[in-house]
Amino acid sequence: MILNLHERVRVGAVFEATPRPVWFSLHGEKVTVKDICYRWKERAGNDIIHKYTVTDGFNVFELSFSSLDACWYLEGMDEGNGR
Amino acid sequence: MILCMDMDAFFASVEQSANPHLRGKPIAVIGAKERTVVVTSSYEARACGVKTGMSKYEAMKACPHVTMVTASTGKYTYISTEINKYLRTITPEVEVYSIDEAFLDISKTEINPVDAAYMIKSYVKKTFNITCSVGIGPNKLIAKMASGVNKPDGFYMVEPDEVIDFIDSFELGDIWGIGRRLAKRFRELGIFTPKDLRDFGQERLEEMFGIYGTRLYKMVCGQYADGVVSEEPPVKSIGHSMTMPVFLNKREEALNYLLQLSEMVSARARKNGFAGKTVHLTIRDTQMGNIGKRKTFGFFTSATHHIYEEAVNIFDEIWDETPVRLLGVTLGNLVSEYVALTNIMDNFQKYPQLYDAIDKINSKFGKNTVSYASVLNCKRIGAKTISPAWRPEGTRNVEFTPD
Repeated sequence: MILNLHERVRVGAVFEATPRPVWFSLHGEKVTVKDICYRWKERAGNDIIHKYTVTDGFNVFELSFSSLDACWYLEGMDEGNGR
Repeated sequence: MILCMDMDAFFASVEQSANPHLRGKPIAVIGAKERTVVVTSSYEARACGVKTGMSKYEAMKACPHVTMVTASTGKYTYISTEINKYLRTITPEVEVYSIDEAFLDISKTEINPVDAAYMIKSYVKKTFNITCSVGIGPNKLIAKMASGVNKPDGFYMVEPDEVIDFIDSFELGDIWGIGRRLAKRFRELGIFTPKDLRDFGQERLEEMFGIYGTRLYKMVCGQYADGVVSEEPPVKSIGHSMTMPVFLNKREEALNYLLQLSEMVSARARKNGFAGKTVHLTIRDTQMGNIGKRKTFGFFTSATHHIYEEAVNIFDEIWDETPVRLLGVTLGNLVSEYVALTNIMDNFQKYPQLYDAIDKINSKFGKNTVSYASVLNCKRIGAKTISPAWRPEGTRNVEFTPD
């Protein structure tokens, strides 16, 4: 089930050429990013939004980073337990 | 030689690559969350009978365990743009044919066509974890058809002296640009294969189809005059259409969408420096019947208020109160490098400053940050679906609004 969330979240990231999320907090728990499945960029006016799908090994999450606000969002999650 | 790069089930492959839960499963990508049709599907779903253009309901009936995924247009346009940037590092002669298809003319480069094909395939796989098929031929027709031979993740090259044999390996209806309907017409004349059409003769084809007959004859001889067009051809019109999330029964509801569409058209005209003299309105009813009408202004305009006013006049003339499924507004008869936002007939003379302020705010903070209040009454706001005319840059580039 894919849930659309768009919630602001705390993320631990390594800033290389583009930011690389390493962990994020979900309902007070730390979720470690095991793998970045996909990354792309979208534009919203002057803002460049870095988008990622990541997995902790079980669930798939979509994270976004607004380079203008320097804020991270959890855009959605797929618990992978059906449609 | 010409290369044709065609992405394999592009949107579905991207979704499967982005979400490991979807890999190896039948998925169908749909345009939006509301009532909509299948835009594309994964190879697993195609094997179950899911086809592009099916409604969600039809797709679920054909393949009950298919997963519906809402299209993520921003993702696809980003990947398409990046791939096209890469293609231009191989040759500047790149024609973006659609979001998932491009032609390259590498005749003026020293790169071996097979090497170029494998460079493209490995870039696409390594960078985006998806596959594409590449066809190589002496012209666009042969390259395009070769790209479909070994799909997915295919490669096929046709040497100039193999062209006739290659064309003859296809049924007439499978030749790019002939299509099923024309093939049916030929079948009724006892013409079944490309060879039959060659034997039918160029003269008789010209008698039947005029100049198109010459083109058809050359196509079945494996010849194709159109080269790779790397420059954007001049834009003849700017238009937007929108399928309604629910059928519209009231004039007021339709006018909100007409205002939104007029602003989308005007914003693109303003951004790219066009003014037009003709407005065309299309209305599609629930039975998929289309009615439309055009009106010509006595002046050139790029302004939302002029386009909207004329669109409403046409709507009032042609709408017979049947529920509306789709509305489309197009500005035609364009002149370039000219933006006209007011004229002496307008009561309010500060429209240029108003549009300038709207454009500056939306350019800085994103599309639809500022718009008309009535647009907020629309259940769907902004461009959601990728038209075949979409291009990574230029006037045909449209910014999409995420759901």
